[in-house]
Amino acid sequence: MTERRAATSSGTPRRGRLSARTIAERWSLVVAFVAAIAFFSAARPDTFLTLDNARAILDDTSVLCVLAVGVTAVLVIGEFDLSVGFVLGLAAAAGVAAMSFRGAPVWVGVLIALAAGGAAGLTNGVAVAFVRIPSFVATLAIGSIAAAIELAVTKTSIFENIPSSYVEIALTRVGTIPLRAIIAAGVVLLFLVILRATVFGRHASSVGDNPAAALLAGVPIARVKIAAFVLAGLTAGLAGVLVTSSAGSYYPNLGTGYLLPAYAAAFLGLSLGGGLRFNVLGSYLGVLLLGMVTTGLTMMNQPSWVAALVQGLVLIAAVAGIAVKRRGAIGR
Amino acid sequence: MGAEGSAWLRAAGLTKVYGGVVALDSASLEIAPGEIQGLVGANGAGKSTLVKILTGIVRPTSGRVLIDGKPLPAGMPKESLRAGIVSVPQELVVGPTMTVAENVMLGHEPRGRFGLLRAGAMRQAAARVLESLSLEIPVNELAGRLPLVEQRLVMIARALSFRARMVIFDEPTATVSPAEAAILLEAVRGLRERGVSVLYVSHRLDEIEALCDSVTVLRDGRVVSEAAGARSHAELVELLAGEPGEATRAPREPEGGGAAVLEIRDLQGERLQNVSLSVRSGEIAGLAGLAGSGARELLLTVCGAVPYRRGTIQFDGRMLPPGAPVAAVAAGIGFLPGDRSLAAFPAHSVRHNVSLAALARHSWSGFVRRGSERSAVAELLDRVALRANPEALIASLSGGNQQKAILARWIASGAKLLLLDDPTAGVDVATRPELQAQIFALRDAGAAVLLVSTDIDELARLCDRVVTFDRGAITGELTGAQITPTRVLAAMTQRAEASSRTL
Repeated sequence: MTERRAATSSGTPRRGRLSARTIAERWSLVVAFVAAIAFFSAARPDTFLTLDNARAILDDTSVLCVLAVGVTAVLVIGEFDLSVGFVLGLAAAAGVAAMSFRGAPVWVGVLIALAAGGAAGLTNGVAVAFVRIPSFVATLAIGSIAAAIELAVTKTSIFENIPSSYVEIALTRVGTIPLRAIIAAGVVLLFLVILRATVFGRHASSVGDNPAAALLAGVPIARVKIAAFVLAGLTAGLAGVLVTSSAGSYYPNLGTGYLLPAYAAAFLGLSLGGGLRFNVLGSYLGVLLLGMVTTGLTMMNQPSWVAALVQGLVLIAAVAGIAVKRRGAIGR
Repeated sequence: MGAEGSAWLRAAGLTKVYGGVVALDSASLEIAPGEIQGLVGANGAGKSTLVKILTGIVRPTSGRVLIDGKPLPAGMPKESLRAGIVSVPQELVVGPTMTVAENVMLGHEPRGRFGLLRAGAMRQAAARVLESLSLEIPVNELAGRLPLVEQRLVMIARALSFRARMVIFDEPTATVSPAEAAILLEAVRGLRERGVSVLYVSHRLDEIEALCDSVTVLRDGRVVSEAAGARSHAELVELLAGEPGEATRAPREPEGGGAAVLEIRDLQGERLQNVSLSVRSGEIAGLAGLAGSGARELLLTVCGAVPYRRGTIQFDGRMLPPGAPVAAVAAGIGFLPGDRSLAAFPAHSVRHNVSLAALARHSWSGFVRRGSERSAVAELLDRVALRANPEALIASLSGGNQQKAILARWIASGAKLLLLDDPTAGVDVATRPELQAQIFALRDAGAAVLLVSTDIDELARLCDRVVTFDRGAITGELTGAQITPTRVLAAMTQRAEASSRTL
């Protein structure tokens, strides 16, 4: 501390500390993104760098994208939501069940899915903000309960009698762009605005940065936390809609595979915030990078474990870089 | 006791420089077996640096420590421990969820084959140490369940279990009652009987006077009085306060100030006993007291960080509910702590840090209007004379400049009451007067200011009125010409007679 103060007490206006190294670190995700495009384009020039493939990647990653952005809102306040995969499943089941059992119209099915997600998020938020259970534990427990409700309602069966107009959601294209990709991009934009341009967003990142200081600066912490968890729940609900409309059916445990990649993407995106702050744009780029690696390796006829391995290595590299940097910032 | 030439530990020329700042300037220290030596000095005088050098946590820039004439390897905690130098930290226990025996023996547990713990032997060893101190504390009890004073005694036992030749105490009586303090002091005297040396660091000058065979006084990193015989309370105050010359005071508005904005009545809390206090707009009221006296606790209670049990806090015509910082900020209260971990958002820009409490003014249906925010922040930075890029991370600023930014936050929010908790702690000497000038400016603009400070000079220089605290209660008040560093120090280091009688 003392050294740093002595070194910076010159009193002249400073432009942060934008050394070449910091800039390199901040843009490492973009560099990796471009490098991945270059690598796979070189390896598979006929198939990778095509409009069809870009469309496919954007479409395939739309679910993860929506989920990762919601997860980012919770990471921004310094908490975890480990329930999103389960909540996705519950919301999907609730929406599909309403349409196929009760004959509800599609828009009602979608609203029910969103409401189920939002309700789960609210429960998470209350458990964390008022009951003060650590979010790691609370969201794990509530996720488990969500999964239990899902399986109890659906009796662990598959539903395929879904209205065709619901399935249309996943098949629609606007111009040449899949509707799901547009929805994902829309959610990214919405969260970008919410977290960057609103009072709530400013409060949220303050809570995540220093909860004690936020409290003493008059930030309504409980409200902010609950809102962040509700946002994450809503995105999980929307993700549930995107999954089932694309699959054309509901099947048990359909959300379980999404949790890890969503967090992986958000942590990859951390570098875009200078290694200090989770951010929506970083998470979005993270999702696209992960999607590109998976697709590219599949095109190169690599077995699926290679993609999992590469994703793991990329994530470790990204987070290790940040950990080293943080140590530098905190250690005196 | 402490006879000339019998010293087993001699330190000479100890100097420690932290990045250009001299924390300790060729300090020396000698201690004899069975000597209780006091170590006093204002915060930042170098006491803790000296202690850290002795315990090997800090390596001195120059100078050395001799144990029985042989140099002690510098900066190696294990070597210091082996030499018998053990410190009893201010913190309560090593582990509240561990047993007394585990606490006493932590770090040198008896081990059997394969490095397995010999639990029985450990309990016996701990029991022997406790017995030798004639303490009746069950070794199997969880340390966290013991009363505070017994937890401290366990720490003393722990020190002895290392075959200590010198035990260093840091404010051992800060948060205990007078009766418990007496028990602790008795235990310290017990160490003397056993020929163990004691280095007793405390702000409580009456304790130093009563307990110590000799006293070393530090000021600004230098030893201003070598350990030579006991000292009286009055002598110590004089040595600590330095030159009796009056501190330069800013000219202050004629007596009167404004109307009372803060009315505290019969406030009771965990560390507060029936505190009543009224603060007017346009005055700086100092709260002076040692750690655990209630001065800082009162500040934290008013800002809502700590709840209260009974009594009322009325601010600007409104009642403040207990433990509600959001309500306090909304009512117009601003908190500026010296500990920046309670105020700064290190991963955020200066702009974010400044405007956080005033976002409502720059927003339209929930959206922040960047332009309005930017221009307001630029104006505020100008006002507090902080030349910094608003978009730079606040963590890249010096400590003093960070404090200016936090002060700007409360100017932005239009705070009518500022709560300052050691606001210039860790602020460089050049920035300190600037910050103090800002505080005067705010007072003159009609704000009420409550100031808690461990810096006596600062209290004397800034305050229009100084209220002294001890044991959670107000013990006195100094006004006008009475406010000199010497008198403030004397008042705050004197234990409250009234409260010690009632307890």
